[in-house]
Amino acid sequence: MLATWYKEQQNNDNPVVIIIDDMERCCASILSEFIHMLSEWVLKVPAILIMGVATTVDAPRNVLPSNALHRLHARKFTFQSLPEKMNYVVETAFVKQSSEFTISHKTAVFMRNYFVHQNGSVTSFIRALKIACAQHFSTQPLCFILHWFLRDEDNEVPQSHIYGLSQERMLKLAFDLPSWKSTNNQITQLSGETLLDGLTQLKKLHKTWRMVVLCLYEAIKGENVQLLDLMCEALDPKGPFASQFDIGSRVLPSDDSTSQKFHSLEKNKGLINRAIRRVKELPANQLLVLMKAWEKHTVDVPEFHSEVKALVLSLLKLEENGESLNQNKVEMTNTRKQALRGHLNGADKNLRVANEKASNLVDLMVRRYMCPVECVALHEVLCFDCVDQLQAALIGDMRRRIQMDLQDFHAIIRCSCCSKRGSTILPSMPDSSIMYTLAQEHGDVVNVHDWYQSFKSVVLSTHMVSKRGKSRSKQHSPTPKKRKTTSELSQPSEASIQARFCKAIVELQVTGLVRMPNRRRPDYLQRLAFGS
Amino acid sequence: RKAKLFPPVPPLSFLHSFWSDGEQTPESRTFPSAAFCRPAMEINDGEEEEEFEFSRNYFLAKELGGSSKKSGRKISDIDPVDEQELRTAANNLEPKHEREVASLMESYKASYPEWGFMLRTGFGLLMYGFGSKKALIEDFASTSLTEYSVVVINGYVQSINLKQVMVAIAEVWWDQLKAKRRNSPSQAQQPFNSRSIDDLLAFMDGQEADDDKSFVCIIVNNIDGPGLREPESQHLLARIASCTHIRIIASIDHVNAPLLWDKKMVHTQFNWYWYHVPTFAPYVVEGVFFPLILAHSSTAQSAKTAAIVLQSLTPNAQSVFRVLAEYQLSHPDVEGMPIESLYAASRERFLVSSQVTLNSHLTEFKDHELVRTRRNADGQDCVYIPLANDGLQKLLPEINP
Repeated sequence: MLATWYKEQQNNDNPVVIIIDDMERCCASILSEFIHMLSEWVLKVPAILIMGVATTVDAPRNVLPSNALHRLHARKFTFQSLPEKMNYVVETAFVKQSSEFTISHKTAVFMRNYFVHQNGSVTSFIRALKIACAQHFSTQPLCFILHWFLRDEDNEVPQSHIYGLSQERMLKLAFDLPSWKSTNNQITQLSGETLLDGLTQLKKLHKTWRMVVLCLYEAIKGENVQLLDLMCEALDPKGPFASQFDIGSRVLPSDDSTSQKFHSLEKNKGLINRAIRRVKELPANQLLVLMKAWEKHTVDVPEFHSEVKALVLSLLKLEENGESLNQNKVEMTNTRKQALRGHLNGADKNLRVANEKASNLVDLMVRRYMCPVECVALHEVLCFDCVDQLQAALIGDMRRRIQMDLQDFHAIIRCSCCSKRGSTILPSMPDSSIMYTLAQEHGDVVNVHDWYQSFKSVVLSTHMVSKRGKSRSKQHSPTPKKRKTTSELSQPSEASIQARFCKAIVELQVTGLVRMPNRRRPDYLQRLAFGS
Repeated sequence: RKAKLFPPVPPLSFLHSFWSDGEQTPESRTFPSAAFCRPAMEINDGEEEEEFEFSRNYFLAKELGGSSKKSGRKISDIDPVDEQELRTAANNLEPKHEREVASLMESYKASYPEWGFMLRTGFGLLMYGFGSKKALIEDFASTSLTEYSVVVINGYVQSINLKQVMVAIAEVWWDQLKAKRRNSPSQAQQPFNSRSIDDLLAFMDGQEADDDKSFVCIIVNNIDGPGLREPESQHLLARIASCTHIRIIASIDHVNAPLLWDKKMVHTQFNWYWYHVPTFAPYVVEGVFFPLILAHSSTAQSAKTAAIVLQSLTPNAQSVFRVLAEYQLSHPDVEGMPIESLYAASRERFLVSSQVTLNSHLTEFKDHELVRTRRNADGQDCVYIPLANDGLQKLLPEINP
């Protein structure tokens, strides 16, 4: 049939393109026959076959027989690797951005672990980020300030009435934020100007933090490093690099004691330390490339930018002294080598000086500018920190949660009749909870009769004698007399107890916790879930 | 390879706090310097601990089940009440914690704006938790989704024709489009009934009204219900949910429901946003198709069916059966009545004239599953009625003497 279809095929100038989504899902023999057929008709019907491969590059060799492979003139195309994609996403979303939204250290670590251990796809990471954004915008009333940041109206107090919030309310919310209260206890005059100062400082510090992370990433790019890992280290408000930024002050300290402490931590491993060491050890040409990249990133921080520029100039001079005027990198390397050979001592010394300067620069950068956003006042406005909420929305642990709902129903229902029950099974508990708790005492199969008898005894009892003794049960019943009379009055009938038993089993079946008896074991129910 | 691409993560204790409910202890917050060197393999310990707990419980339960003496009690020992009475009692049961359940439902109303926001953003809402969520979701739709069209699919019914559902959704979307546009659309519309599934999907995913933020909301009560558990159904639902003008809210109750979906369905097509909303409302409609365990107890069932069958037989056949039943009741320990004895007893009472007649009666009984044969210790063929003695006793008065 295919052959006849091919005969009728109009032969245009363009070849026919056949796309096979997933090669490994196809039946190998049919695929090879198909390839044979295509190759036979290739003169009349030129065809290009595009095959998607889900596993390894040599999968076609494993799947197809050799005679089919011979007829294929194969070219390989690969997408950008996963780490590269991740780095690009993280860089665009958090580091090189125009929007100020960011995530807390805890959130970053959670998202990284979710990506690594649960679901290693960029789609799921972006989805997690989307959820974090959506949650931030729906729970933080001051999130409109992000829009204010975007509009770049730094000299004016945010006009909250545009967003449906009165100015007073905005000020109250802002000055009630925990980060403001812990950092600015002394300030008594809480006005729009104070808020403006705080927000400006927040924006500035966040910008410089982003600059430092970008520069460190440039330094460590060649070493197969994930930007997300670097970001997690840099975000940590309790990490060794953040200890410089006293949460009580907005001004960055620069005294010797902190820098000594900093240097002593240098010996520790970590990506930031690795980046710092790398900068110190880079050869001149690579250092120049790095400094040029830093020059671009540090445009907004004049103090730092001038130092970087000076270093770039000195490195360039080194190059010139090394008798190389060519801008081509390859030639620069060669002449660098020649220059080094020719002017070994002098060049070496100059290089060491440049490295020293670069190392001081990076120290300065990390010490003075890498302030994690969580150390800054008012950071709650732009920083998302509700990891539990994010986790709950991303990962619903059905099996565990349903069983917890049944066991710890009181945390949800909050009734007075079942409060402080301890380990006792009270008759006022929901029937399904009673049944679920009773089932725990049995193995993987539960005898229906025994289960019913236990259920009946619970339902008919006023006080169950618990393992902890009668005294506790006495504490639980404030008016034992009253309870006894009510229970005597409303003793449930056998039919109603049986009906409740049946309904509870139906509910446990709906949730998939038990399975009905089968022919082999007509008097036993099988438990399918065994507690958390 | 993983360790190379993703450098070591923070210490184990830090990770553990995300995968368990425990609060992060002050000690775990300190940042031990050597911790960064840990290989990635160790980091899974926190997760694995929790998984081990699950499997530990499973093995403990199996052990407990195996070691303890199995109770030989049967369902009939419960002495279940008459089915009609049971069903009447079931319908008249008073729900527990009515007030608390009602206030729980009220408390969820505060989250309606957030749910609406997430829905408009493009997420699919997945509601889970113990208790029927049908009333909750429908209340949410009737209060917060009034400006959108809503289609409800009840997944708890036994079978659902998804093609018809798609036609209904397409018609609703078409009506919504017509209502937004003043002028009638240019293209002539083929009736939706005759279109293929791909056509319908293309229509719902179309570029029309792009700047408009309207959509059709689909509510699937029990997306894990028996009518929708087939993989084809779930894939089709996923394709529907991924259309640009469709939003989906679903509820699940079965603990294994997440097994219905693969990664693409969860993250791209459905785009699930999980909401834990236990309601503790009774599973009324969801449980309709489940049999009541005590209503269909084997004894009552078999005795009834046996009585019905016997009444359709000839009086002689019924009398032969009575002889056999009386013998079985008076000799509870034997494997059954030897056929020779049955023949002799039947002949005495003039119920059968020859072995052939008896055999034809016995064949009829066997066909209707009223009797079975087995050999006793002496090697004789015996017949017996596969009913418990109390069932037999209930049956005897129903047979004509």
